[in-house]
Amino acid sequence: MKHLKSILLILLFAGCEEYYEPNIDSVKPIYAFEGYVTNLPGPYCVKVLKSNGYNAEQQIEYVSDAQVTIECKDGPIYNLTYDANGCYYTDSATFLGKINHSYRLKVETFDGKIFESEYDQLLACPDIEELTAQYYEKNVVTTDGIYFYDEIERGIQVMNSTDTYGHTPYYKYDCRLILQSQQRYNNPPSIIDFYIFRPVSSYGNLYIANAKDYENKHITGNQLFCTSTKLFRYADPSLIEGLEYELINYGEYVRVNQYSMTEAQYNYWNAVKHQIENKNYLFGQIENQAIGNIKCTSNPDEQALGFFGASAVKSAIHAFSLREQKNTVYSIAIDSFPDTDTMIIYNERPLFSVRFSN
Amino acid sequence: MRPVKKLFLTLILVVLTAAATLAQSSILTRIGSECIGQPLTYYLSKAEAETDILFFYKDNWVNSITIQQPTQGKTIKQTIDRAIADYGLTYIVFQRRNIIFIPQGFTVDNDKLMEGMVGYIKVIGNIMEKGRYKQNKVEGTVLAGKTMEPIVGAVVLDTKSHTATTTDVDGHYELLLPVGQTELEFSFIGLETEVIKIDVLSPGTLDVELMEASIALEGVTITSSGGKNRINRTQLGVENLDMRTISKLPVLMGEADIVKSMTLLPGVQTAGEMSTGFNVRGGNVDQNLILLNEAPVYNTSHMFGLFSTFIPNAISSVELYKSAQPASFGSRISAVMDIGLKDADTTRLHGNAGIGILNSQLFVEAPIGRKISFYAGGRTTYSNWLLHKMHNANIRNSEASFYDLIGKIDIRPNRKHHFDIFGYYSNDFFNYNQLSEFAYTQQIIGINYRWLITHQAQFKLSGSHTGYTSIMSDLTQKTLSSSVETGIYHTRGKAELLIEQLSHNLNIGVEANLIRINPGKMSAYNSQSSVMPAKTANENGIEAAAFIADNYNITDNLSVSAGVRYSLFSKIGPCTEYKYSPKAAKSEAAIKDSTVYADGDMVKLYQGIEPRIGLRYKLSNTSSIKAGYSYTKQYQQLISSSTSAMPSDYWKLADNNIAPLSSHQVSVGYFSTMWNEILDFSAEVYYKISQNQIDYKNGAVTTMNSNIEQDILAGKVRSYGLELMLKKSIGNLSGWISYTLSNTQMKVDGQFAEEKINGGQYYAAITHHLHDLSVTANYQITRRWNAAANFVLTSGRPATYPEYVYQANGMEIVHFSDRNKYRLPAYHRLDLSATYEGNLNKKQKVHPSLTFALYNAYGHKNIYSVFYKKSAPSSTNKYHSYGLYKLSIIGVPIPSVTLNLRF
Repeated sequence: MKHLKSILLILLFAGCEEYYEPNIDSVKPIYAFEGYVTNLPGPYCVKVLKSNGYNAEQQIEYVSDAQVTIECKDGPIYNLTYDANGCYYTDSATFLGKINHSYRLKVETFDGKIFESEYDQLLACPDIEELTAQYYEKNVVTTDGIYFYDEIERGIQVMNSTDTYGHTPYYKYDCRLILQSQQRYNNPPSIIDFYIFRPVSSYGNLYIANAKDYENKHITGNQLFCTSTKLFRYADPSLIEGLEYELINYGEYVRVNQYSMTEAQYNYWNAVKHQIENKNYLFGQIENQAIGNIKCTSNPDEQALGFFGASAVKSAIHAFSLREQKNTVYSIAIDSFPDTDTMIIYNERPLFSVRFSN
Repeated sequence: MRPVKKLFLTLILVVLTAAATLAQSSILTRIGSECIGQPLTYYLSKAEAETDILFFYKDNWVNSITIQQPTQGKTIKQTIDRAIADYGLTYIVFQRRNIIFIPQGFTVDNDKLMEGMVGYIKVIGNIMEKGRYKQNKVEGTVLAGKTMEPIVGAVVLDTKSHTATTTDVDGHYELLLPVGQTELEFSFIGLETEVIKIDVLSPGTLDVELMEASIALEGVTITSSGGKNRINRTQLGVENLDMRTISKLPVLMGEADIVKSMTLLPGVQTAGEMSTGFNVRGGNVDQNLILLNEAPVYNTSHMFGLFSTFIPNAISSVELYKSAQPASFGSRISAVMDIGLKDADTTRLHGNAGIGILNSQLFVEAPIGRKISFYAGGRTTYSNWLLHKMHNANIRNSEASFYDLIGKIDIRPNRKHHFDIFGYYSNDFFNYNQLSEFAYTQQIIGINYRWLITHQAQFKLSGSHTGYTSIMSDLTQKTLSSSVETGIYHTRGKAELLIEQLSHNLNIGVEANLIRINPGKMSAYNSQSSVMPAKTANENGIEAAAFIADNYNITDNLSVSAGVRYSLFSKIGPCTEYKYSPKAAKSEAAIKDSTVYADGDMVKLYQGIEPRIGLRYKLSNTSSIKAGYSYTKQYQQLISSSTSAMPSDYWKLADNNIAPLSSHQVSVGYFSTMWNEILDFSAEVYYKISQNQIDYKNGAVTTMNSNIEQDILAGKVRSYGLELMLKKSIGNLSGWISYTLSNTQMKVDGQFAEEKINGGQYYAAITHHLHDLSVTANYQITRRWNAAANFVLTSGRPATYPEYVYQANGMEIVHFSDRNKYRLPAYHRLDLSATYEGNLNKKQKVHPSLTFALYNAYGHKNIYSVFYKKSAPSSTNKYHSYGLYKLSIIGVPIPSVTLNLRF
């Protein structure tokens, strides 16, 4: 009887999710582009690469032998120079993006194809009114491949508010954070407590906002980066144990850059956002095609991927600290952001501390 | 052995073994008519008119008998005892209401006497009126002998003139017959065919009970009228399944399922495993009008399609019109599923209880006096205990439950009037791993009135209100958890007059619908959430229609069913409608103007005439050809956020920016019975063109979208196909094979690039399935054991896959193929079931049966959906940061055991 019950339990409701490799047509690689002009000092990078077929084995191919220029609608043409990894750079001494100017990309490839983007206007960007942070908990399920575990993921959700009155309603964000946490570590036993100083970038994640979704086009509580126990786990699996419970009680520095966008640029990134955030707990969604603004003018039948855009940028820098007893995050605006890109520092003393008034 | 002999053998044997205990209350009824001096047959016709008793006799036994004693105020028993005392006759009472005259000394084992009994003649009408009319209306009710429920769709055939008709939702039939003797053949799938010799004197009644094959004795023969019905009926593209057939199909969790059963028929396909609804001839789920006793149904399933909304015990019949709908139906362009609730039993208290692993049900019906009867039933699940023991934590953290209730009261003040009031309520709850939550309810209340004005005229009036509300909650973050509520509230009224005159069946009526839609109301899920409430404006609409239709038998072989429906619709205020620039695709930037409509203001009136016509030509008694054409309009469409129908989808009314759907359909069919009516064969071809069907712009946002017209596109759909069906309804082995070869394509070719899909070329619609094969078999192994199986094989539905990968902003971005360029793998599944009848003795108060079912017997992992999501790069996914994943909802065999108790 015991076995019968087990069999029934196993058999019933045994839905499953598996990696799927359908038979997708082999496709010829096509050119893909990515590049931006901002009102901040350059150089600006334009990436030229060749896309892969979805099922292709090889890595994405960088294109190093193209002639790349950026044209200002009513002004000069700027030539870009190849550096590495498909990146072509402007000359920062001669080219600075200007508000309300429109720019487009033109690329002539070695095989004689000419690609041009639509003009994208560099729209003015309002200040970030406020950066706030909120403690959150959510249930997550993890698996080691055999067993499933229920966990509560805890974290700090960073949010921004921006009044877009008189400006474009479309914005993109990137964030840089420096986390400082205390770790109790028993091996080697001589070190009992030390502090970890860790820079984290939002690169690879996408945060956008449409002010039309907010009352009076005033962006409020727009969710940006999360600092979570999960983040620590991915960052350094060997140090999970203590950090799970420490979070940012020793401080977190956050710098948020806000990029203004045109509607076309927003639509592109919004489609990308839907692609990557397709959570799909149970149901298949309508696909989200990211439609770029680049066309092959020498051969209209040739497809091209990607978007070339222009944005004005405004930044805000804050420090946050979590008081765990109350699950409250304290926040203060600061002037500068430490220039640390790649370091993870282990130290016996905190590298920085922020005084918050209660 | 001819059916009538078998019937009598059955009758007599059953009577001799059980008659002593059968109630005889009807024979003790006192008769008001005075028949002294009249022939016995005259008295018997009077007694039949005053009571529900039927008399069976051989004419030469009774023709010479005259009533010698006063009959007024006397019981039937007193009168016939005296009348037949000197004529060597006696009688037996069968099932309380049937009185069979037999010679004294008759024994059932005497084959010669049995042969002689074949000549029984039933007298119809009043002997005093004999010959007064050329055509006499013979009418009556066909009941299932086991349950005393009216049978819908039973065929009544006059074997002399080959005139036939079918019973309506009340089991009622009417035939016009000349004076004289003839034979009426009553038949229905799964029941014994009964042939009754009648002598028509004048208009009269003849009620018949058809016995179920399982209680017949030796040489059980299951007979069917399905083939003849399909041959004789003028309407094309009608599928009819009775509850007996449905209940014998193997289904998930041992529960008879109307919707799943229908998808085994040609041209009807499931909208996907665990999806609500079904697709008919390439039409979307929202293009099917589903009526439960004339009330619209907006949710046809529980637990995302696991169980049907319809409580099997309460249903009498299901008819699906997938081709030319009768003019009395409209509002949906693909199909009408007309589900009839059965009338509550007027004779005794009985019911049914079912206990399964995950769900149970109880159903009770009973009379209240002679004129009122009722039934009530309900089902519930208790699946959470099982979910909480699952190994998979996603499922272990989930909850799923539903319950539903149904009740109906039938009131029959007399033979001419019939009222019924019914109500239905269902509640579903589903929580997936504390991440998303669905809760949806449906309430239906309806009232129907039928008035038999004359023998030739009937008036029907119905009113109903349906409310469907869905709440979908996102719980991924406690502080930002939100709920979105959507709903539709539909009030419907309909009046019909049905007139039957010689070769005409005329149907005239009007219909009115008031519709209110809540497209979305967002609120914080709980007090911890900081989500701000938001609301998209409600929509209101009014739809009305008038229709007239006639079914005319031009000759014995040629009949025409023609009708016209005039429908009109308008969205009504309060609302704000935007006007867009004709120079750009609809977007916020293209808004030129807006109009504010006050409460009750008409936004835009759509109207039109919808002709329907069907022709039938009988090539012989065993075959016919048919053709049909229909034009239908639909004024509301479903907005869906996924490729599968979901309970949280919401409706959108036609307005200034969204035109109504319309569809032309032509179809031609050949129907025949073969091998002495053992096999029924049908072949139909159809071609359908629809206009203004919704598809979605790339990346459309459908939830909480106040200007949904900016995210949807109107397209043209063409659908054509061949549907074949071979059915065996006679014998221990019954079942059918159905095959559909079809193509459904859509074209969205708007003025601007953003308003085109796949460059404005035709592409496979999401409902496209090239091949669809169903094989269904039911085998009566012994009197107690019944086994059934069905196998389905369907081409995979269209899918859109990523074709290119590139990088931007440090992320992998994919570029999808043209919409629906690819196909999912074929869907196939085998289901098995076996039922053991515990007790066949009618005297037993409780009849238990056990149903063992195995759904998806060989555990095929049919794909429910394919999606693209973030994943940890590994060799399995070729080191992509994102990957395609497939979800199989039911990837293993699912056994179930259900104990049913009929009492």
